[in-house]
Amino acid sequence: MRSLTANEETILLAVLRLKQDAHGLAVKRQIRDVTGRDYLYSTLYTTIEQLVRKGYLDRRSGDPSPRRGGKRRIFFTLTPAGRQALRSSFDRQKAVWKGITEDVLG
Amino acid sequence: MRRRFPRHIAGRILEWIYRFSLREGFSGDVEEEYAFLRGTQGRLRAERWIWGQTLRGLPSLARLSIIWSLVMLRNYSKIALRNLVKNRVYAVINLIGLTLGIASCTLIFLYVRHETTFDAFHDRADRIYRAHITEDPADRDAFSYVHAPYHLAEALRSSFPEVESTVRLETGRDILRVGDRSFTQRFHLADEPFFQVFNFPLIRGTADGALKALDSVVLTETTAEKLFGDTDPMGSRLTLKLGGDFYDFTVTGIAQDPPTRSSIRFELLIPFENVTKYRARRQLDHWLNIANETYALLSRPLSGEAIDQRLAGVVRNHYPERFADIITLHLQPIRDIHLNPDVPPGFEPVSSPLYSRILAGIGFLILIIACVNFMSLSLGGSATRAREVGVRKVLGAARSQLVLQFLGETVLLSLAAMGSGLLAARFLLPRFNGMTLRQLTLSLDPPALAFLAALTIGTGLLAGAYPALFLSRFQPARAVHQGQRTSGPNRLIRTLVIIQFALSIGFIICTFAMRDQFHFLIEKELGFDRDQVVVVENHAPRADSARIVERLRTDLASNPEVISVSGASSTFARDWTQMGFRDEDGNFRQFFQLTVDHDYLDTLGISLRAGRFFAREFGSDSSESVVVNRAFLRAFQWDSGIGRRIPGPDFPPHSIIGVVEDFHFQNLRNRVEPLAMVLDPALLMEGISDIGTSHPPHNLGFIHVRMNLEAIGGTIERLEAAWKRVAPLQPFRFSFLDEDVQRQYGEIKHWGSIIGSSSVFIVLIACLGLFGLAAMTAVRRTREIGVRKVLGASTEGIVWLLAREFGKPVLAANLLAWPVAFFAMRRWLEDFPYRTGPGAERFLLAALLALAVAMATVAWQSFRAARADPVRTIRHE
Repeated sequence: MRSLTANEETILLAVLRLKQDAHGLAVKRQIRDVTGRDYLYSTLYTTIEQLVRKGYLDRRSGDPSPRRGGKRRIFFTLTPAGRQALRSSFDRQKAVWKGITEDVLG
Repeated sequence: MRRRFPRHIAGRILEWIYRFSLREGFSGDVEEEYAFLRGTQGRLRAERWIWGQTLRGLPSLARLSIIWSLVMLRNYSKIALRNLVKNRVYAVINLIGLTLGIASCTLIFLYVRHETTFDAFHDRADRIYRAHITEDPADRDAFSYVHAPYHLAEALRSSFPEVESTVRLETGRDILRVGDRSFTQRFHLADEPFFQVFNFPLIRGTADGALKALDSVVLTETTAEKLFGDTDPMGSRLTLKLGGDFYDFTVTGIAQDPPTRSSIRFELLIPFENVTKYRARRQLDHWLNIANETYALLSRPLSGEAIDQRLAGVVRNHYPERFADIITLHLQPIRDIHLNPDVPPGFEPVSSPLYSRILAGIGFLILIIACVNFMSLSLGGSATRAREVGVRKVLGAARSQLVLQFLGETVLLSLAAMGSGLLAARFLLPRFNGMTLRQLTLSLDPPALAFLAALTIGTGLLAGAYPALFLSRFQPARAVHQGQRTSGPNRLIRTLVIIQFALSIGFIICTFAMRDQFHFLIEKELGFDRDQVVVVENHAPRADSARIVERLRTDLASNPEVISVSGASSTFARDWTQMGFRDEDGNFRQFFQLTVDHDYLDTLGISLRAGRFFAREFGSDSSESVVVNRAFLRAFQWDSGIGRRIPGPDFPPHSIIGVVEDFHFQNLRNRVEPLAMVLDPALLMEGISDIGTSHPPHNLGFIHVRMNLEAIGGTIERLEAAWKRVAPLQPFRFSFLDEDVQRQYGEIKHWGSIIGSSSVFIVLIACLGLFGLAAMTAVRRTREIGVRKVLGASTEGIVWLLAREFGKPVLAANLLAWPVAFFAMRRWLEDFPYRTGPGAERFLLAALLALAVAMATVAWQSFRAARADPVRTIRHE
């Protein structure tokens, strides 16, 4: 199983945190709040498309809204495969960062 | 209901370029955040944000879009290919049809391009002109010619400053000797600037030096090889007969063979001033004596008013006063020469633009039929796949997907057809060259290729569009339920088949008509006996020529195969001398003239109608006797001619001693004209005011030998041996009279071939169309056929039923074709004073042929449909 890229990991984690409310705009805001990084919508969505294609995310359509010019919201949820990918990533990170404290980093 | 991002252009751009599946979410989120920003932080901030999103996101989105499109393209191609292979038969038929169309179109394009770009290869083509003169005498119709007086070139140069240089060109044919071999060689004379004005590259020698010395000669590659073989000809000597004497020349240059697309085609070139060796000074100085083509290179292209004025000035200042009023000078651009029908031909034959137009018309027609066929077959093919389409729609295929798939198939097929079409054109090129008497090569420059590609892809798209849109509109349930039932496309295809067969039948009729006319012409009784006569060229000058004939006659007298020998100044299939004079009432009269010897009538088997022919016992015949043909009598409205004289006041005393039956001495495209025969043309020369001739009437330039050619072999060799004894300095050039005559109609034969080949193409394509129609019909009526069989119909009955259905359009096509073909052929035959009959049998034969071919085409389909098991077919329901 190929490891996640940094973007993919960030987005998957954001979707995880947002639970039911993970649509594009919310994910973007979430990431900005947590990391300070302001994604472009184009980058965000292309990565999400890839994640959907790989089967890590599921999509679900919401209701149309006049605020969005009549377009629907699309909500994303983690699939079991997605969770598995995150878990592997977490485990690897843990192993790699093990024992590194503030002092060691300097 | 999706609504575009109407208010914001940046938003629209983003939305447009994001082509992936999450588009709705993407677009909506952008719009939502924009609205939010605008509400909370004001318009300016929002604008900056959205433009930032657009401009920064564009590169990566664009790149991904392209990659994705390529992947889609590859997928669609694979699917298209797979589909085509599944429906192999249909694909192959369609491919063949369009291939034929493209191949014929390509060939014809090459021909038309060749004809219309004549003489364009000269660098200075837009500044090179040829002099062309119109004479408008008071008492006759105006006529024009492209040969000019000797001094015109100089007059042009001195008259207006725009003339940079002039080149005069003349041509002749006479004996050439190299070492101990002799040939008859066509030669050209050209002024020194020849190679600097025209683009005939020199392989050896220089453009400014090659024609400097009076005795220099330039050969083309082919001529050099012919005369000198592999040895280097530069500096070698050869001897050419000009007028009555032989002159030596030294080779100073070798030129590339002139291209076929040239109005100037030379083999051997000597400086123009050599013309004084065979033309008298007096002749050259006369302004109405014309023999050379005069070309002028101008410093810039001139036309219209400017040039007319200057040319009028030339006439005023140089022509003798009495001619100045009737002469008009023109300059014809060199590129105009080949295809302008209003200007008579010079030394090289010109082509009528009519030929190019006809061929272009045929090519266009074939291409249109092929493309339309392609479309209708695609439609038919898709109709039989209605079920497949229905199933796929049920399974959720998007309409756009289906449309793209059909388009992909047809475009792929049409591209393949383009490739195979070009290959086929390459393969057919030799035969085409033979038919059109050209040497074309398959060289397509980028614009032409681009055009062809555009045409092909356009056909593919059009062909795919209609069935794609039409089919994908279906409700799936209906499509799965029954076969294609709509009559719309069916009627369209049926009409197309009728038109195609009508065209086929029309072309077949025309082919038959042209063949018939050709055979009629070559078999028509000509009034002389053309079989078993050998014609030998005699280049001895004036009085010598008669002596040579006499010597040959004596030498061959002991040869039992030789029946008769006679000399004459012209022969069939060549030009004839025409003379004009003013009769006693002042009317201008013209007649053709032939110088003969005593044996002419016997040798050629021409019948005498009244009086007698020239006879040796009557010594005064050469100075006082004339023999005419019946057309001569008719022209002067005489009942009998014996004893009369030609009514011109300047003729010396003479009388008409005999009248011969009319014989066709010219091409059968002309009626028989008045002809006067004499032993010595001096008799007539005094009385005439005008003469037009290619073969000097004083020379017996052609010797006709009637021999028994069917005897033991070697007759020609013995004749050649006799010739060598009699005229050792002349080469032996001969031809067979019957072949000469037949060659005149070669043009009809060639056009007959072209029409015939086109017929084959069109018939093939029409059959393909019919085949498609048959396939569609078979599918459509499977259920009906099954029911009929259950009710007791036999296989033969079914086949007969289907045959009738397909026979009807073919027969209907006849109704369309017959009148058009009839009128077309009648119009063509009108140009011939002697022609075949209307030929009802041609129409019937064509109709039968078409019907037979049609039946053969649908036979297989019909049998297959008729034999199908009714149990299976009815279960279709």
